[in-house]
Amino acid sequence: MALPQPDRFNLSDAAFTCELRRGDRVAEIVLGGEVDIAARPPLDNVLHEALGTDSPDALVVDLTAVTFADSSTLHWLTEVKREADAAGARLTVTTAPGAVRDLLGITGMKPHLSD
Amino acid sequence: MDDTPPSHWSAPATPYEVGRLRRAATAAAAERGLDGRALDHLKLAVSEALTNAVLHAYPENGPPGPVRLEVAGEDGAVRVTVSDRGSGMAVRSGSRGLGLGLGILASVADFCEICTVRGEGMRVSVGFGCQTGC
Repeated sequence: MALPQPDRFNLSDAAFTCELRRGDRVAEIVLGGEVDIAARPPLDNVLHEALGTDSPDALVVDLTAVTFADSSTLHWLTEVKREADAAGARLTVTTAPGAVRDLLGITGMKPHLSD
Repeated sequence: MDDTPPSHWSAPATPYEVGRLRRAATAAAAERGLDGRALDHLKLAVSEALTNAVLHAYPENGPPGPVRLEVAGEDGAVRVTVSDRGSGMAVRSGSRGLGLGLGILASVADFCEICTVRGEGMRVSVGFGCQTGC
């Protein structure tokens, strides 16, 4: 059976988005859409960019616009935490009610991700 | 039940197929009457099963082998099966992942069955809206 046509299942809502914002000693990674294993290369790139220049005091990962996440996302978040700790940056992960918060609840990982 | 024939797809086990197959399975499950939180959990379980196949079924540096996805059931009782023809479940050093995926899958599904046969790959079946495999 052929895969469904993209317009039938509204792929536009699923598109992964990733943006890096910089403030005064703060870097913010803002993600949106569906975050799965295919997103890992750009996620690694934006993490290195966020921490690799200007050494921010704080790193914010904003997941409030993420509509789907799985263990691939959690794997990346543990890398974010490890690298933020190594860089001396305070990490805050923000979520909204929905898929991401449910996943963090299922796995009990939320307390381990933010300082 | 199961008057509605199963829907099935095959694709290379690559990261970029995970989303397309996940959305196909979710849409097929919705058409079979699954909704709400159960549909969200099916979507998550399918993604974990597909990701497991991508990461572990075939050698990391070789060409990707196939992964097959099947959605069956109706009236809100849906079974999804993800199967590959890889190396099956094995102890691995330097595993790519946290080891969370199949645990998440098992915790959100009403029914879960993982079958591995040496030399024949792995099959993961999850059921939603049912307790005994739909």
